[in-house]
Amino acid sequence: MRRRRCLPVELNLADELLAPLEQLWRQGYVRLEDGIFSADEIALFRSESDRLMAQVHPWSERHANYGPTDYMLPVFGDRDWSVLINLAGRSAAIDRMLEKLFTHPRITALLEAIMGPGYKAWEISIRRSNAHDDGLRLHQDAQGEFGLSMLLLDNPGATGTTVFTPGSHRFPISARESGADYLAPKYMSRFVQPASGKAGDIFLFFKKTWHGRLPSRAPQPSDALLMGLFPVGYQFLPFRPEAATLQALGPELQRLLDPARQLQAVAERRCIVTDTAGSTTYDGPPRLIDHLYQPAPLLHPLRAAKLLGKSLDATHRLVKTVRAMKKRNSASL
Amino acid sequence: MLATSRSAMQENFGDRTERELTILLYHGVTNSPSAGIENYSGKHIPADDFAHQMQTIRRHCTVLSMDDIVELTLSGKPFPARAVAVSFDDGFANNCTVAAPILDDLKVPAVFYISSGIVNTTLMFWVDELEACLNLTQASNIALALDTPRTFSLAAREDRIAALETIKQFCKRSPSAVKNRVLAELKTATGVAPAVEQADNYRKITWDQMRTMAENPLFTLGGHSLYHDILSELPPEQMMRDVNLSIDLLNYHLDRPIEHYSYPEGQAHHYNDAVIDVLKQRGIVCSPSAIHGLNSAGTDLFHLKRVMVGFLNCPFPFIHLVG
Repeated sequence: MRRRRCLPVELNLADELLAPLEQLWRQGYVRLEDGIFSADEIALFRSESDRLMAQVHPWSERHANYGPTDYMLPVFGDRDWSVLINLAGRSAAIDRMLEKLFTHPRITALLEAIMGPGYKAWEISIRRSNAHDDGLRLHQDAQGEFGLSMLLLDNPGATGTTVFTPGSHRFPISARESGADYLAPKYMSRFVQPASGKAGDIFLFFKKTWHGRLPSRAPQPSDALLMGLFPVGYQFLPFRPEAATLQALGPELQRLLDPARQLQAVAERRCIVTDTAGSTTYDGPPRLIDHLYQPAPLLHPLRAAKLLGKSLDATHRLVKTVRAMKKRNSASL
Repeated sequence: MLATSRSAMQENFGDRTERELTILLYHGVTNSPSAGIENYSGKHIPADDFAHQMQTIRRHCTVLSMDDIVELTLSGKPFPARAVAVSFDDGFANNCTVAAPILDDLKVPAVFYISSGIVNTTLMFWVDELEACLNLTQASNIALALDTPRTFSLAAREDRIAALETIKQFCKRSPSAVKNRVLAELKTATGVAPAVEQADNYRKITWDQMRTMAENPLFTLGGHSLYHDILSELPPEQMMRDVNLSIDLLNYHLDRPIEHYSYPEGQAHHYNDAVIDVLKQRGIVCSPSAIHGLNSAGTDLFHLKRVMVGFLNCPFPFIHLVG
């Protein structure tokens, strides 16, 4: 007897793929632990990322010296965190591993169930949370954006890694509307679950899920591979890799990053992802992500709070706390 | 992995091998001991047997590379007497670690058709997962829903082989969703999580190993789909993507053009004209099937037949020449 699925779409997939998709749909994120990469590959990834992350430029240079779609950017950072925004094309060894990731049948099957075939990549980056990171407030990213992250170091704790508010991808209110994005990271721990695990563990998450980063006082930095992907029919602002950079990449990375393939300009600098025939209308098999952007409320906050595993009204209290803080602060001005 | 009937594969070709081209089809060559029913089918033949077979063809036959076969066919020339070629399907690590050194010692050319999406991974083919489940389980019997609910005794080795054969044949004639369901239920029923670490023969080749092999002029590397999906069963766009990406991955990692290919499973209903068209568009010059048989001069290079060796007791076709 097959178990009834909680997914909003019928997906013709094996149980070992449906189980993580169910968890993704329930929580807004899911950890995959089945080791796409060997320990040797993770060590190589790590040493290459250390080499690439060695020299950090101040954030003030970002817009002063570089355009919004420039590809070969240096590492930018401050005392809290640093980021290498466009990773592909910097290290042949890492490029080969990224190619392996994006052609691994388990990963492609999951990503296609979520986003349909033909998804594109916006950003493939390495993020380093430094020792004494003050964290990042809860937020949501662009409509349709989907996240893939991989830990590059063991991180059994909650700090220095992305945290998620479980179920928040289906809240009928955004992080901004609720005021959650106002909450300082040091107060977030009651409302979030961390992307913790072993080096090589992969997290898939809707970027609509409220996510951020708790303050870190760990003596060591914490590194993660972070990616933003967009399905056919959704809009983003692509980076522009040079032809030589693109040509040196593997075939799937080329498809994901090439601004001349499957992208159609729709506004100043903005592009919409097209299918391989050039259509901006998705007409492929059902995909999970579309069900996040329907107008009807998807999940009541109180029901979502159960997913936190804490008090029943945790999310409600979060909203009340933030509103009270806002009121107090505005009164004191 | 193949679905030709056992009796057909054990056909003796008599003296036809004297004047027709024989393309030998192997999957693996092993020097690892097997426990239980692992490799019961002989998919990975013992290294000593393989060495004897290669010595035999080196001594008594005209060994051709696949490029030789293409050249002879396109120029309209006949195959030499006792023409033979050696091919491997799928991409098991022992192709590089066991077979390649034997071939290199004897200067026997060979082609290796690799499913490029499984290279450098710990993925297992579904038939190997079935085998591992039934080999490693502590259960003495299992219940499984095939076309009807079935109970399989696993008390003796023969019982496990019989169960494996029955389940495998059912899966081969079922849609992939049913196959996936049976496999998932089998894992639950047996309590086994199949993993490549459970047997050396399950390990897949790596890109480093393939790059080393590609440097040897005796060896040709070709495509074999991305994940060993049956190409004729994929929707057209997905089939094109699969073939294109499988070739592009080989190009990228080996930094050389790919001109050879073989169809997963390789029986007549596992490929079609649309698949052949895509292969030709990508510059593939030859793609043999796995249909059991020999080839006369002029045979279409996209419909060549091969002779499986070892698997399910398929005899080496030149056994009569072994001294």
